[in-house]
Amino acid sequence: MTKKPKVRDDLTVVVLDGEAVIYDDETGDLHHLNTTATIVFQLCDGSGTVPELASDIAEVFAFDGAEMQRQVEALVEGFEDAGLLAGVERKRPEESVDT
Amino acid sequence: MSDTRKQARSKKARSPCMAKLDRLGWVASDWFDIEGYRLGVRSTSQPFSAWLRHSLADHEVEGPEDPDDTPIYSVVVEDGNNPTERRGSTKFHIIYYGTWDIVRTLDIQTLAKSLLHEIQSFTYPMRDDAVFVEASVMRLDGRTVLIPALFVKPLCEIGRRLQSSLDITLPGQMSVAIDPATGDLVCPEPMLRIAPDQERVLRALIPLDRAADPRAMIDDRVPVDLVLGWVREPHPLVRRGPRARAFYEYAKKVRNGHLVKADSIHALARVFERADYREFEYFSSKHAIDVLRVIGEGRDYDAHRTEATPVGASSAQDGSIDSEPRREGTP
Repeated sequence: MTKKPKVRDDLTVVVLDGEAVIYDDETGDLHHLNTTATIVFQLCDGSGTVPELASDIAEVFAFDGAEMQRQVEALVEGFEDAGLLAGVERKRPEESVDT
Repeated sequence: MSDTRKQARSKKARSPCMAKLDRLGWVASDWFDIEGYRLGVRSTSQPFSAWLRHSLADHEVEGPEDPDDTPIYSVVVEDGNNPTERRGSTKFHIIYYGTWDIVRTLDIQTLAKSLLHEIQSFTYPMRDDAVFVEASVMRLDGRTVLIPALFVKPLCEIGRRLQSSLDITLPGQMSVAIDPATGDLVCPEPMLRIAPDQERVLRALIPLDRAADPRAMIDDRVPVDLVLGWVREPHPLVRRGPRARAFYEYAKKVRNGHLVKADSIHALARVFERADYREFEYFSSKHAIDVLRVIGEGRDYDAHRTEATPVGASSAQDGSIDSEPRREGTP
């Protein structure tokens, strides 16, 4: 809970209508994030822990705090599994967890 | 690979659809080498085969040892001499790749042009002079429209009804080339050495006068005016909608992504940023005509209006990530 997630600098990210499509040049993989996942993704800049990110989002958007914490934890785990975060080794496909 | 394994693999590879296609009455098989890649074209017409061998004489090669291992186009040509009677009152010329019918037309010139384009597109996964996407293009009310390749077959199946009701030019190619710097559709440098008199030779060999059916094909640089995305909804509709899902679907269809890498994303981003966007769903040919008319007029349409979502919902939409591993380019 104390780690501060940060997305990799070498990803190619296109945001259209609040949703992100991400290309990973290292693997050639493509990812599509819906609006909630995109908000969390864009806030993963290494400046806040997961609880801090969840609290910020809940406050700005008037969402339920506990629900937001659950969502952010799940999404950050998904970003880790997909290899989108700096300093985190991407899980092999057979180890991936659906988010 | 041992002969026994080859035979087993050959038998296993023959799906019921392919077996059915195999019985259509092929009278000619021709083989070509395109930049080191071999492919075959079989057809129901000797004159058509003669035209093809003349047009691609520089690429013609002997047949492979194991034809089942070589990609093949199957071309049904209605030249009045088909040995096998086909069902259906309208005898279309058809190009199959595997069992996928990719072109269906009454116009032999369109068939020939589309086949040459298809053979040329075999080289796209090996090239990095453009971003090549498995998608198609049509003209609607004077605008250049990018459409998913999946939409081509259902569109062309009702093509004549569409042409009688709308200002539409149907698609004629199953891949497009995009300039990553501008997002324009471009005609890539030809890698096929085609006989310059091929059109004249075709008219001489198959002098049939059937319905002209010119198709939208990219012969010169052109910007995309409108991008279409196909959504799954329970009722016919046309709406602007969020573009990222459609962008993601097109990005998955890049054929040379392993070579052009992030340029593929930049190219599609330029297309989507400059063009208008609509997503649609339909269920019948009548719906298709209505939907395309609405798209051409730049309006939205919903066959089943729903209650508006209340403003200020207190819970977030659940976050989701969809991921697709990029495939290595294959023809």
